[in-house]
Amino acid sequence: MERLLLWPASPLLSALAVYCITQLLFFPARQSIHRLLLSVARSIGGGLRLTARWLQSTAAMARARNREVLLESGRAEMERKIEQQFQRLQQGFSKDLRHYPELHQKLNGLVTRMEEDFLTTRSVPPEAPGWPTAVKAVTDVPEVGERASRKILLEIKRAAVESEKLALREYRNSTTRRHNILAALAPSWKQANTHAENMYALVSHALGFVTRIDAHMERYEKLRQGDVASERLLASSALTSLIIALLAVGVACAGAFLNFHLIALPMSELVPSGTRIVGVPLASVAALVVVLMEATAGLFVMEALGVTEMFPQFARLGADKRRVILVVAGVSLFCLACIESSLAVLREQIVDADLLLKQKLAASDVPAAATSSIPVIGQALLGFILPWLLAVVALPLQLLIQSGRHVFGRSVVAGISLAALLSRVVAHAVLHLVNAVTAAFDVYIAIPLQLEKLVRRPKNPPVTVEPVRMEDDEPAPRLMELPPPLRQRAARRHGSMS
Amino acid sequence: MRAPALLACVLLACDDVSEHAQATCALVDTSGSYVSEVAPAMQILKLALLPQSTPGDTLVAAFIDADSYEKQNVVAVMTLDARPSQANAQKLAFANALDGFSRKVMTARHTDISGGVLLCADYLREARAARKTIVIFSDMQEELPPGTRRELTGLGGIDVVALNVKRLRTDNADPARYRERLAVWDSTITAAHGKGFQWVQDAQRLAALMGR
Repeated sequence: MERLLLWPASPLLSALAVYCITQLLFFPARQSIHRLLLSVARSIGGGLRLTARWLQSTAAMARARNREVLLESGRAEMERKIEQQFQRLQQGFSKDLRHYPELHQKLNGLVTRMEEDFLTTRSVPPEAPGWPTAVKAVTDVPEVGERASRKILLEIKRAAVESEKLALREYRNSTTRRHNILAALAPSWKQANTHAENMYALVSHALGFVTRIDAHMERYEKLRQGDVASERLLASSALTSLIIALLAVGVACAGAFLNFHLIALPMSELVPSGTRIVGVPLASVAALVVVLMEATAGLFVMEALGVTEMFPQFARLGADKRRVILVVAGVSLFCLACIESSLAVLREQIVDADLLLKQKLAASDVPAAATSSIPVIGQALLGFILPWLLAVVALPLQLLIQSGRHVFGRSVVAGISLAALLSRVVAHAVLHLVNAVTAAFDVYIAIPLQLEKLVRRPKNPPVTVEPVRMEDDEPAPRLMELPPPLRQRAARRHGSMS
Repeated sequence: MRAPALLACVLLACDDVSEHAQATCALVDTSGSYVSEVAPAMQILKLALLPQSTPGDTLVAAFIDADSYEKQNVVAVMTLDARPSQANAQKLAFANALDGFSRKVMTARHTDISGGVLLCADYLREARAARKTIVIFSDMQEELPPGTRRELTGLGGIDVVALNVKRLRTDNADPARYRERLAVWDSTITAAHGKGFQWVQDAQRLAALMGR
């Protein structure tokens, strides 16, 4: 600090000398320094504002693009769902309603039979005409004394009574027959009822698809119209899907890690274990490759099955070719699972051999632990099952890629917007800082300024310091925008000035 | 066009075995003052060195006697196979060779440590390894037979580790002699362009010194 002083022995005098020298230097250069500061402020602040504008426009473009992609993917998803529902509807019609004609025929036959039976029951046998009256008339005839006449009358009475009994029996028999026919109709009614219920269930099931298709179509229409609510729903759904997919992929990665460690050690028996690739043992690289191959085979299986749609080429392939790929990928996966299972068994053997070697090197007489086949079986099973579980990772992976794109896009937009805001804030800060520096400079040379004011007041008014303004600072309100009293005052002032 | 380029990249990325392998030569003193320590030294080799060795490593075992710079002083030499199962079998054979040596070891009249170091250096130079180490089990008191001249040279890139250095009776009387003896060896190894000289009391530290 002392080096800066002109006279280190008297710092006050040195400071005074420095002050005077700077006053002499700065006062004549005042306007130039003001212009310099203004120029610096405009270049930095303007550059930052331009950057902010560019960032804002980029963010707007990215936002629009994200929205477009989001809606397009939503539409594609909805189209896929509608197509799926149509396929199910078709399958439902071809599967469920296949038996409809047969059912209809059965129902028709039943109705015809019931109608015939019913008509049969309607044929009532003729009632015995006046037999009771005739019997009563014969009974009411006064008893005659003549034997022959009496006998005739008795015969007539007996014949009348018998005829009445016969007619009554026939009537009862006929009624019983009709009742029997009606009783035999009951199962047919039940059958008809069952058939009708089945038909109702089938038709309802088919109509359920139609209801779902209607709902999907409604959402699809909203998406086509760019409905804001639907867009928000899609964005929220993308975030939820991303979280779920991340969890699932994380679990799958843990499985892959376990899988890798299961086969890394035995792999050293198959590949040169001393060789390394970028510092990593070749056995570990080979194990990693096997795990990745399992995941890839699983991916192809899922694609061929139509569960995932990550490769557009698969969609263009015919059913036969897809089936071939499915078989090849499935067989590969099975082979890899078998290989991994055998490697898991080999791993156990290597571990046992290492343990045995250490015991022999130590020449210890510790009895070997009782060997159990459970760990070997467990590792073999694990080695066989893990590849199949790893194959399913294709599903959350697709979800992760699809939803990750939207979430990443939104994050990018948010980042760009934040950068634009920061740029504007820094521009304003620079602007006000330069204004403050300018004012501080004037304060520093206040004494010569005041002297100049006293000397030159009548001729040249002192230069007023205009605060630095940027192009897109808020402009002064126009005359028409001012409230009426202020407008009148401003108009008067304007008139007096002119 | 891309596939060959990719293959070339992969091949270039492939490291040679020697870049990670280790070569170790164990020298065991059989002079009268140290012969009683031969069996424990063999045990240390079997328990601390052999299990830590990995496929591609080279192991040499030799002994120090009156004239150590002779090929017959080498007890066993092996480079571990790339397959762990074969490597285990080799380790077992090496351990058997060490056991056989410790059973029939004979006391030497003189101690030619430098000759043993030179012998080890010759073997290690042939080995394709990134790290080369000589482990010496001795009291580090050299007593060359009359007429024998030794000058240590050509130890470039070789670490020398003195393990289980036995203290002599004179060392008990004056511990400075013990330290001075080791300091002399340190300067000798350094002068012979050796990578370094360390002396270790705890055998457990051997694996750490070997970088395993």
